[in-house]
Amino acid sequence: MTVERKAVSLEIIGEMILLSAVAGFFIYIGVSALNWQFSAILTPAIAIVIGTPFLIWRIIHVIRMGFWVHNTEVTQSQIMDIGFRVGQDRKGERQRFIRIFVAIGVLYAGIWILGFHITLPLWIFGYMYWFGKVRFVWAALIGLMFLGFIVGIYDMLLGAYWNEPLLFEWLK
Amino acid sequence: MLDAAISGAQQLFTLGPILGMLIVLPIALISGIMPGGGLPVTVVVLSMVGFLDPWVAITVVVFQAAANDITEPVPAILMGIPGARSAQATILDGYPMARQGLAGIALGASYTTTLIGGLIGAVALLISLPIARHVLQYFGSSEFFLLSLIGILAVAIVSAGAIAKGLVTGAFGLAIATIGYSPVAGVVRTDFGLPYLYEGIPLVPIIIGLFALPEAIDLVVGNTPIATKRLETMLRESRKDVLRGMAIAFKHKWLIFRSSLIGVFIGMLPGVGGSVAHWIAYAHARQTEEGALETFGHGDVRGVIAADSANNSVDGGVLIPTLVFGIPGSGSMAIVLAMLIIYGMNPGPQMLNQHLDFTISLVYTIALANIVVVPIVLAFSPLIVRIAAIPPNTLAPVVIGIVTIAAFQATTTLTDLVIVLGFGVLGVFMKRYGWPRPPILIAVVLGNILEKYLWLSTQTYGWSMLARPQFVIILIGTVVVMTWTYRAQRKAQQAASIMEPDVMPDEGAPDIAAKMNSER
Repeated sequence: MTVERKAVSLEIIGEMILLSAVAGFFIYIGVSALNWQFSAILTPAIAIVIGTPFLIWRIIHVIRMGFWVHNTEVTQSQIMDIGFRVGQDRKGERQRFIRIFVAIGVLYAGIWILGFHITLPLWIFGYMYWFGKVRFVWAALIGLMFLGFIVGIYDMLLGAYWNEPLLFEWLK
Repeated sequence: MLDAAISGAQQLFTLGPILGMLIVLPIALISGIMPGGGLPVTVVVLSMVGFLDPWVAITVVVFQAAANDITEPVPAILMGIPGARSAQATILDGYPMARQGLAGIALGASYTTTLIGGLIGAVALLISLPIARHVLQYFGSSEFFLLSLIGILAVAIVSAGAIAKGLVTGAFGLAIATIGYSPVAGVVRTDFGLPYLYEGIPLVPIIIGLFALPEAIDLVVGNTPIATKRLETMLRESRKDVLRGMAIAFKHKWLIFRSSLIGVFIGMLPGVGGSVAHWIAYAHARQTEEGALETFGHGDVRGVIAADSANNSVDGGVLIPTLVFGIPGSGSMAIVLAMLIIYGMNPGPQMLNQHLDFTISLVYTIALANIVVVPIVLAFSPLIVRIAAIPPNTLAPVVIGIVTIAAFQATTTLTDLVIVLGFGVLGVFMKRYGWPRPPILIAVVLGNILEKYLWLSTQTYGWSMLARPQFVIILIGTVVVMTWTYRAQRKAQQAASIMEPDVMPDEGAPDIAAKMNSER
């Protein structure tokens, strides 16, 4: 088996973060379980007993992959889940990823401050107009349709409850 | 049983369920062609369970899931885009056929096999019900505990090349399910000191964060441009020879029958679901059909027939473990199971005795979806494909907006949105690094059930539950079936990897090979 040294990639760091999060959660449960009665421990114990050996195995595997690449290693594919699309334009993909992630954060912050009725139609209009390159009229129309959806279905038909926007609380 | 069959029909064909199906029909046609497209509808319905009658809510979700599968092959054949993962095998032969000017034949064959496969799945579900009623008499709490555990771990076990990731994910999901109040122990666990977590994490924000957000992000990140000129050529060709394609499909009736049975069988396996059925049917056809080793992957209609038959018959199959044992066969069935529990319809003996009419109505729903949707898709496939070509930056904000409302309406607290973001980050990581996400969803749904049966069986049988004949039979049967499924899936993967270069699309179409590589 040929073994080569290689630099630690962003991929490895990302998976290590994921593995650390899972390990951290298992440790938290394990420590908390010391104070629980027997009936409360059973299911968490099953989760930890099944998960921990494979978690450790995976951590070792990722660390080995991170520092050495085994040329003879056969990569097996997994068809239970579709990974992210990976194309030629890596830089563009990264930009779009950051943009949509920030946009979702802005949407949720807007809902907290201004509420659903104002934020959602405006956000949809804004995203379509600036990033989707949809014509102003169409983007505005879709935004208004969304407002109609919220008012028509949720307010009038279902009598849904909404949060009190932070701005309205301040104005009071 | 006849009384229940009549009662089920009477209740299904009333204004509420029919109206629900009519409303969801156009959405289901469109959502079938998009990655994770059916999910927004499902979570919106799930967030409305407090307002809707169970006959409407669950019928709509099952109808939508069945209708989704029918439209999935259309963009796969015409554009080489797997709208959903269950259309991946269809691309291998469907797309090369379209490039050879045989799109109409591929679509005609696909529609026919989809219809027949769907009906075979519905009949299999109907036949299984009286058998299941008999078998369930021998099951106690220990067997239901074992089945719940298998349901969580089976997805992981058959995730060829990702077993460790799958098992960690299943265990992680089970750990998440322990958050909040435990009805068995009567204590609050793993709450991180947050009162919000006393009731556990609500299901809708988990689903949206793990599945809907990463799919919407993927839509935008991929930003796949469609070559309009080439699309128009494909659409022109798709109108020709559809009837010939249907006739060709009938010539391969035994292949349809065999592949449909594979779909039903794989669908019946707890936790495995439909994401592998089409691959196994495809590999089976490649190994058993004359000359298939040379022609599959180069535009052989039998490849389309095998994949699509299994893809649709699986709908009936996945409902069997969900309704009979309370073990969801897929992520969408986990949501159906959650809805059943919310409505007080406990799967298992209760579902097959007290709610038998409702159970049978789901058979009608699957059959109805196939009978109604196939002719509509036949007539409107060009329109459906044009919708699939809508730029992602136009589509994604609408999807995100809808699921955000659904997330909030689940428990009407803003903390739900924080949970969505948290699970969204987790979902993005998992999707990026090829960690299977369905085990988390299945584990969260099954967590409480598993705990209840585990406690009951330890109190009733103690360690002797491990020696119960039923327990041992289920365990051995699971090992045998999982080994077979794993091996069959590996063969299917090998078949797919051999053919990858031949399905490389040209100008403007997405890079399928790169997409397949990203699954690793």
